[in-house]
Amino acid sequence: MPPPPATLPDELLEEILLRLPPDDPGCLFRASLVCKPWRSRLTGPAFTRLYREFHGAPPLLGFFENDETVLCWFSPLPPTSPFFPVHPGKCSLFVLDSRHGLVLSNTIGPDGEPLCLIVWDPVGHRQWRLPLPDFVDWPTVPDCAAAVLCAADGCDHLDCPGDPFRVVYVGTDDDGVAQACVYSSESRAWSPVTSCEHPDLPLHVISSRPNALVGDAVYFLCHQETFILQYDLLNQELSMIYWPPLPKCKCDEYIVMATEDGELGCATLKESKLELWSMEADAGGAVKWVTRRVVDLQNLLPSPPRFLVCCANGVHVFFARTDLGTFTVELNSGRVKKVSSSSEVIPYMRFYTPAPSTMASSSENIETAQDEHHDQLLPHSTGDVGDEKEKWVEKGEEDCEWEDGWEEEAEEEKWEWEGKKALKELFDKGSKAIEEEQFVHAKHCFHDVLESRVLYYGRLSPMCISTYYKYGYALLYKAREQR
Amino acid sequence: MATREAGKKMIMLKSPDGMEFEVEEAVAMESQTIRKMIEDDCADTAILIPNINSKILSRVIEYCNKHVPTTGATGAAASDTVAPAALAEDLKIWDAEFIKVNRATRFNLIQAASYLNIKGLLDLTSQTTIDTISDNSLEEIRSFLSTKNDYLPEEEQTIRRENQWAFQ
Repeated sequence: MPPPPATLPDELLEEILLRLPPDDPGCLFRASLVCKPWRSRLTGPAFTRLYREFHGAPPLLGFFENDETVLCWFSPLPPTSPFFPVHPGKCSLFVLDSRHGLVLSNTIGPDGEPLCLIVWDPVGHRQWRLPLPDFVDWPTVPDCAAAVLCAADGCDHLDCPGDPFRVVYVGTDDDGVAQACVYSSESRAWSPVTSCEHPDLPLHVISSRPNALVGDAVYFLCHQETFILQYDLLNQELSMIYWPPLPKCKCDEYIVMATEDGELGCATLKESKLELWSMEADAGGAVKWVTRRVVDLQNLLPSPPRFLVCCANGVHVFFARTDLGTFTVELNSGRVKKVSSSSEVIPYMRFYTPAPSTMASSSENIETAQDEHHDQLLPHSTGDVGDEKEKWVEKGEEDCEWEDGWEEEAEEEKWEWEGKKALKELFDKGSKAIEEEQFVHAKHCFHDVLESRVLYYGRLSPMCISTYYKYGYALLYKAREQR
Repeated sequence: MATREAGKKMIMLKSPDGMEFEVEEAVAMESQTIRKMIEDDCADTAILIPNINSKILSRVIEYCNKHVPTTGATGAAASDTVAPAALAEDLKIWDAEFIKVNRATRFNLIQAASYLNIKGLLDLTSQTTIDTISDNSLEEIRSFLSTKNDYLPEEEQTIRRENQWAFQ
C-alpha cells in the first residue's frame, strides 16, 4: 500500500473547493474554519471571482413574502442562512422587486398609502431611502409597479457592488395614463417623467406581478392582453408594445421574463403544464408566440397548480401556487418543495461568500484581508467582540461621507435600541392594564407591540411568544367582558 | 492534424514505471492534454505520461473507455437501441462504482485528471470529495485532507460565535 499523499497541491485543492455548493452558503464559512490557509484562500478576491464564474447564476438564497398582517418577511431556503427574517426599516414594508442582490420596497402608511422607497442590500448591510416620484399621488395613481437593477459599468451581475443602482417606477392613474421615470443613485434624482397612453383603452399596470429586465429595457404587464409596457433605460422613454395574446391565457395568469437567450419571453400554466414561450417573427414580419419548453407539473406537485407566482435563477426555478400553498419547482431536477403559504413571494438571489473580516476572530491581526471595503471594519472590531450591532453603527460612521446607505444604517440602529425600549414600556403598560382589567386598553398595547415585534423578529420567532400570549389573553377577556 | 477516419487507430501510452497501454486514439483523446499532443503531431510512437503510475493510469483509461462518445465508429460497447437517458443513468451508476476508492487513489485520480485535462473525471473526483467535505465535521475534513488546524481554540470560538448561522 503506497503512503497517501500528505495533501493535495494547492491548485487542486482550489479545484475542489470551487465545488462547494453556493446554495448553502454555510459550507463556505465552515470550510474557512478548517485552517488559516484555507481561510485566506476562500476569502481572497481571486477565489471569490473564480467561484462565481464557476457557478454562473447566483443561487436562490430565499424569498421575501408580502403578507397582509406581517407585510414583509424573509424565508431562507438553504439549511443554513446568513439572513435573519428581519427587515431594514422601522415601518411597514411591502417588497416590490428584487434583482442583482438588491431589494426594493415601499414603506406603507397607516392607510396603506406608499410613503417612500427603500433600496436594501442585505449582504452589504446598506440601505438607501428614496422619495417617491412626484407623479405618484396616492390614491389617484392607484396602480404602480417598480424595478430595481444594478447600474455598475460592465458588471456581469454575478457579484454586483450594490451601488450604483437604478429604480424604475411606473404608475397608471384613474384615467388610464401610464407614467414612468427612473431614479439614479449617482445623481440621487428621478429623471423627467415620461408617459404614454392608448388611444382607446385605459392602461392599468399590474402591481403584483413580476417584471422583466431584458437588455436595456424593463417590461411591466398591463391588465390588457395585447400589449405590455416597456421602459427604455437608455432613452428614458415609456412605450407600449403590442404583442399577440397568448393562446387561452389572460395577462394576469402569466409571468413575463427574460429567456435564456436574453430575449423577452413568458411562462404560462395551462392546466398542469408549465409552458415557456418566446416571441418569433415570421417571414412576413408578424410576431407570434412559440413554445420553447413544456414541463408537466401534474406528477411533481401534490396538488394541481393554480398559477405561477414568479421565477428565479434565470428560468430554472419557478414558484407555483397550489391549493396547498406555494411550491418551488426546479425545472432541471424536477425537485419540488413547499416553501410558503403566501402567494406574494419575491425571490432573492445572491452569492454569499465569506469576507476576510467576518472570518477573522476579533483578537487576531489578519494579514489576509484584501478587500479594502471590509478592511474598514477591522480596527473597530477589537473592542466589544460579541456586539455585532455596535459594529454596524461604527461602520456607518466610517463610511457616511461617501455612502448615503451607511448613514441610514446608523440611524436605524439607534432607532432599534430606542424602539426596543419603547416596546418594552408598552408591553409593561399592557400587562398593567390586564392586572387592572382594562382589557380594551391592554389589547391595543399588545397589538402594537406584536406588530412591531413580528416585523422585527419574524412571526414565528420565540421573541414574540409572550406578546402573542398576552394579546390573546387580552382579546379573550375583552370578548368575555362584552358578553 | 491526425487522420479523422482513425476508427481503429491505436496510441501507446507509457507510465513512468515502464508499463505500456495500447488504447484507441478516440479514447486517449478524452484527455485534452493528449488530444493536443496528437493534434500537434507529437505522438508518433508512444506518449510518456509523467507523474502517473501504471495503477492510476489504467484506471484513467478505464474511465475514458467508458466515457468515450458512442456516436463515432469507436466500437465502444453501446447498442443503438438504448435510449440516451437510460445510457446517462447507466453511466452515472458506473461512475458511482468507479469512484469507490480509497483516499490516496482518489487524490491520485484528481491529480491525473487535472494533468491530463479530463473534465468529466475531474468533475467526478472533485465533486465526490466536496460531498464528503460538506457532510463532515471540521475535524473529519481536517483528517481527511491531512490538514492541520492552526486556529487557536479561542479564535475558532470567536469566529463560530460571530457566524453562528453557518454552524447550526
